[in-house]
Amino acid sequence: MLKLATLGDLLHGAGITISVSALAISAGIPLGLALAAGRTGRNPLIRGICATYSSFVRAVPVVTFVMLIYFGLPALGIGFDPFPAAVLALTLNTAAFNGEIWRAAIVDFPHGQLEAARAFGMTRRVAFWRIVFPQIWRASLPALVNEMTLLIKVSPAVAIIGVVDLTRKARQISAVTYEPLPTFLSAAVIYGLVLLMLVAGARWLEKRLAVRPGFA
Amino acid sequence: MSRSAWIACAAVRTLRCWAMTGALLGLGILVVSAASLDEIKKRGYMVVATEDDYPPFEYVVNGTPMGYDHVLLALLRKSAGFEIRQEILPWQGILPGVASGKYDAAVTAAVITDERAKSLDFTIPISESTMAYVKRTGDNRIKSIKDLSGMTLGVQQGGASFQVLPDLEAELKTTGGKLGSIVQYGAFSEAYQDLVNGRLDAVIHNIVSLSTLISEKPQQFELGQRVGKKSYAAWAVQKGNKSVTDFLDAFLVQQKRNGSFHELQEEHLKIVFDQLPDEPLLPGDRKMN
Repeated sequence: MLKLATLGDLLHGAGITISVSALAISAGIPLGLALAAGRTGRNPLIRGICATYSSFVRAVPVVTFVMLIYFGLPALGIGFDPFPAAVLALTLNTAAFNGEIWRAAIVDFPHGQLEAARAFGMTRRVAFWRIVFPQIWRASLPALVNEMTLLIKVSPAVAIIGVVDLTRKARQISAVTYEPLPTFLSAAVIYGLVLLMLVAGARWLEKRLAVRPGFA
Repeated sequence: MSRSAWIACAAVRTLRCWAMTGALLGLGILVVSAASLDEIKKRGYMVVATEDDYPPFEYVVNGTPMGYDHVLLALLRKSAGFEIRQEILPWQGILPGVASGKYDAAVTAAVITDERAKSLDFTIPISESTMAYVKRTGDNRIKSIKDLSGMTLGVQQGGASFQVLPDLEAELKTTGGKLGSIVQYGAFSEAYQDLVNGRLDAVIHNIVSLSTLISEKPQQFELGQRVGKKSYAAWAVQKGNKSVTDFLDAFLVQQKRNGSFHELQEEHLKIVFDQLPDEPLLPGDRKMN
């Protein structure tokens, strides 16, 4: 059965999984919003760039993308250590998916409200932050949380460049003990707890948003 | 297989194929040539990649890297005269990293194959890596290779254990036998578990990994015979980076002459290879072109 030291080792891996995912999620959500803004904006060049980016990134498997960032970018003179490369790859990946979620909310936004805001003399910027954003934020939250859980579940892809996350730790341990079952079961329980906390946090946020208008 | 399942399966295969091609193309375009020994000396350090779940060659216990290659690496560090930085990562990332020039050498037991020799250079062998089979202790149905006829065998997905199957099939045919069903695994620990469970009759893996396994779990597993052609494992270097290959070869030859190889193999690999060749040889003792 699983020893205490082994469990500690697994928890260390869980810490890496959580920190890589948390960094990627917190950078990926605003980046996704910027992508969506670019795609729905007026400049056709920026629209094209943003559309190409999100199509490309969503089509490339995460493992391939991580390898491209870590092994490929040094050829262009940009080198990263494994951890920042992992965070960057996951951020760029999740941003593309978040961008589509934001875009759906923006496209759905009733145009009349925007015209009313403009009629009241709000600038585009003020209208976006005071009128549009609080509403699309609420509309997008469930889908964004869904994407967060998916991101956590694809995060083991970063192991390919030597970042030892929870799944990799479990594999290392089972390679020595020849007992994959207890190790991977424990890892699965830890993943479950992490996702449970994330979902509980999101529920709480949604409830708050439901009773209080505004950002949260 | 139903029609829809077949379509899904074909789609997954196609996607996988595209993904691999994309990865190779992407890396191919972005290859940097690896540093020569002079460049390494000038910048003051060498970067090597090792694996983390390949006992007894390299593995990690409570965060500490251990195994045959790590001891050799420690000896290399003492004699190198420059810093050696080490990156620990899964096997799938190692050879692409060496081929793309991110790492100067793969200090891992990479099996010398025809396929790999096209894109990588190898040092002198550090171990034999001939395939063999392991069975449950006391399974009297299997006494030699010919008894594997019709048995369910576990191999690693796309690994050397998978590639030896045609050889095994040919070997079985000479005694009128045939290859049974084959189950592919991502990692051997899972295959061993299924061997214990009785889902498999034998697992094929290299003779070193199996020797370690049986030395640790003799009540559960018993080593069988060698399967297929004789093959060797060595450290890998980017194709054409002769200065680094020569540097590593000089070190390894010294370890072989002074008896470190013998001693470390006995301690870590639980099997000793005193007849290793002084050059990298392709499976079946064929010379490199």
